Amino acid sequence: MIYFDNASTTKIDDRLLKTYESLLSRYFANPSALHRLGREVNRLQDKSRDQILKTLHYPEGKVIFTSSATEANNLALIGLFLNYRSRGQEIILSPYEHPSVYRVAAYLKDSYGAVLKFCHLTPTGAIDLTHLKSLLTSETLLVSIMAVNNEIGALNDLKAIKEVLVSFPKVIFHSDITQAIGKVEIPLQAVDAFSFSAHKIYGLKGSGALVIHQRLTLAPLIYGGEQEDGLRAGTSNAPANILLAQTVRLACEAVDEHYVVVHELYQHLEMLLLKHPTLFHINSNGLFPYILNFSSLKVKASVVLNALENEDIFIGTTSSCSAKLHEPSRAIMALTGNINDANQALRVSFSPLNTIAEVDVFYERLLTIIEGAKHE
Amino acid sequence: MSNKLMIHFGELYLKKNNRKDFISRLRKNISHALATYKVQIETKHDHLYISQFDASHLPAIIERLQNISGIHAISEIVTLPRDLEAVKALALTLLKNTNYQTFKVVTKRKDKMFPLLSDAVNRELAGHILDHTTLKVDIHHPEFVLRIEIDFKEILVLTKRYEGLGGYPLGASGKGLILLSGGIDSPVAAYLTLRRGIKLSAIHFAAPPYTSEEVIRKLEDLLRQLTPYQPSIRLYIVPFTDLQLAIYEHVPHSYAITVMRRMMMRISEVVAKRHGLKILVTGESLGQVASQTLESLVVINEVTNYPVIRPLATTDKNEIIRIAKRIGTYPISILPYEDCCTIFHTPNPVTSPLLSEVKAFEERFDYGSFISKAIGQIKKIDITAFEDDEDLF
Repeated sequence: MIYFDNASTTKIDDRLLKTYESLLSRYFANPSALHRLGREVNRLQDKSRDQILKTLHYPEGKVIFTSSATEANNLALIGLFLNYRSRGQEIILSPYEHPSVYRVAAYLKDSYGAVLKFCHLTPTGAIDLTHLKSLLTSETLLVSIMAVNNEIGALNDLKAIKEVLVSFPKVIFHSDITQAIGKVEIPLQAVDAFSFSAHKIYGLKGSGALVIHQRLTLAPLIYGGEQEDGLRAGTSNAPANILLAQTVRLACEAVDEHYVVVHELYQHLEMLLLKHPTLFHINSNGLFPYILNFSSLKVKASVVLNALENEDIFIGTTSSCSAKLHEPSRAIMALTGNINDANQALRVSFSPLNTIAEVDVFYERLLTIIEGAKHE
Repeated sequence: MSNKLMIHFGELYLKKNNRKDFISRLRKNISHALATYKVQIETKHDHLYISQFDASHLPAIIERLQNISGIHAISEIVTLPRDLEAVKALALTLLKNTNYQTFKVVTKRKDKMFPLLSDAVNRELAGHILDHTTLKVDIHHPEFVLRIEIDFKEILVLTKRYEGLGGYPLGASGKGLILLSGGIDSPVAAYLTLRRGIKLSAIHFAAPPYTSEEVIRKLEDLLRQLTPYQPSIRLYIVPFTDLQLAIYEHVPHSYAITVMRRMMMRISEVVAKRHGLKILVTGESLGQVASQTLESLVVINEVTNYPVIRPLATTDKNEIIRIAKRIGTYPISILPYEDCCTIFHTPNPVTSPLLSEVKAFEERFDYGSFISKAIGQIKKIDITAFEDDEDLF
C-alpha cells in the first residue's frame, strides 16, 4: 500500500496510541467531578493546555479543546463575530479557505448580515498584501487566513499579514493552521486566534483545539455546561484532550527533520512529472513540500484516482471535506482561473514515512494508467 | 549541545568537614528527582556529572535540577579527547550562526601535568577563534565565554550554564515545623526554608465545622507546589475549634488573636518536640497586621524558648507576592476559603498587647486541658507530588 493522502488524515503514531491506551484506562474520570479522580484528570487536562501553549510559543493563549479543526473554525468565526460585531460587520477571507471557514462566513452573511470580502492572491498563491490592505476599513472585524492551503499547499506569511493589520488594531486575526502545524515554523505571535486538529499530525480523530489570545472572549456555540470555561459545554473528551499535548509536541519537535525528508520526495516527484508537460500540469509551487497538486491533462482525475486505488495507491483530489461535492478546486480557480486544471486536480500529500521508492512506483503506475486510458 | 551535565556546588560549604555528607545527600536527592529519566550520576570530587539521558528530556531534566536545593548552577558540557584541535572545531561550531561580537576563553587545568599552561591554552584557542571569525577578545565584558576544563582523561567544554536554586542539600541541615495558614506568606516562608536545606513538616489549625474541608484541600494543593523541593511533606491538622471558642468566651475580643497565636505556638512547640523538629518557622512579616507588630511578637513569642525562624520578617509584601507567583502558590493562596482566623474575626485587635494582661486573661480558663485534647486529636496527611505523569506528555 502506498498512502499519499496525508493532508486528508494520517495514521496514528504508535507512541501516541500507547499513551492513549494508558490514559483511557487510568484517567477515565470526569474532569468536572469534584472528587479526587476527577480533579486529577482536570489537572492533567490543564497541564495539557499549558504544554500546548509552551510548545507553540504562544504563552498568552487560552486553549479551548474541540472535536476538530472544523469545530474550532466554527467557534472562532461565529463566536468572535457574535461577541464583537458591534465593532464592525466585515470579514476578510482568502479565496481558498477551508469550507469550515468560508461556509461559516457565508452563514454569518446570510443570518447576521456579515459583509464578506475576499483577498486576491499573488502568483505564488500567497495572499496579495496590497490588496488585503485596500480591503481593510474601519468596519473590518475579522480577518481569517489559513497558514497553508490544504489543496495546493500555498504558504502565507502570517507575520507579513499582521504587519498590514497593525494600523487596524481592533481587527481580530484568525488563522486555520491545520495543514501547517508540525510541518513548518508558524509565527503564531502574529495571530489572535488559531485552529488545528490532531489527526493531521499523527494524533486522534475527533480531537482539535481553538487557541485564542487571553484578552479575547467569544460567544459559545454549545450551551449547557461550564466545561472549557463555559465556551464549549459537554463532558470533556479528557483522554483525547490530554493526548493533544504530546501530539503537538512530537509533531513540532520533528519539524526540521521531517521537512528534509518530505522536501526530497516533492522534488523527486516534481522532476518526474515535469518530464511530461503534455500529460501533467503542476499547480503547487513546492514552497510547502508536503502537498504536490497537479492536474491530469489527458485523463479525468476521478478515473486516475480509481485506477490508482486498484493498485493500492491512495491519493486525494481536493479537500476531503469538499470531495464528495465534485466541485472544481476553489484554490486553483482562485490562482489561475483555469476550470480544466481545477476540475482535474489531484493532490499527493506526503508524510515523512513515505519513501522515494514509493514515489517511483506511484509515478510508474500513474503513467501506465494514463497510457492505458488514452488508448481506450 | 551537550552529552553530559555538570552540577556545580556552592563554594561555601565545600571547605567544611561535612562536605562528603552534603554531596552524597545531594546525589540522593538528584537521583530521586530524576528517577523517571534513568540517568547515570557520577561523583567526582568537585562536581557531580549526569549522563546517559535522551536529548529530548534535557529541558525537563534541567527544570527539575533547578528545583533542587544545594545546586548552585548546572552546565551543559561536551566531553572531548585531550586534543585542542577538537576543542577548536567545537568552539567554531558553537559560534556559528551567533551574533556575538566579543569573547574570552577560560581554561581550568585539573591535570596540572597537561603540557600547556592554562594561559597558553587560552591563547591558543583564542588565536584560533580570532583567525576564523570576526569576534574580538574582551576579557572584562565578553558576550561569549568559552569555558574549558582539562581533566586527566578528557577535556570538558561548558556550552551552556543555568542558575540553580542555591542553598544546601535538603535534609543536610535538620528539620523544622512550618505554621501554615493557607495565606500567601507561609508557603513562601516554607519555600525559603526548604531552599536552605531544612526539611519541613507543616502544622495547620483548623476550626471545623466553621471551616470547610476545602481548606484542607487548599493546603494540600499549596504543599504540593512545594514537592519539587521536598518530595513528601507531612501536614499535621490540629482541631482548634474548642480552644478557640473558649478563648472567645474568656478573653476580650481585642486580645483574642494574641491569645490564639500564643496557643498555636504552644501546640506547635509540643508537636515539634515530639517529632524531632528542631525549629518553628512562620510566615510572619514585621508590621503587616496587628499580630505582627513588635509588641505583639514579643508577647506571642513569650510562650516558647524554641527557636522561631521568620524568613519573611523584613521582606516587603510585593516581594513576597513575587516569590509566591514564581513558585506557583499565589493563585492557590488567594482562593477564598475561610480559615480559622477569618471566621472568628475581631474588628479591633489590639496592636500593643500587654504581657501582664494577656497572662491574666489566660488565667481565666484551663487552656492546658484544651491544648492536650487538641494535640490528642491531631490528624496527619502526607502530601506527595502528583503521580509522575511525564510519560503522558
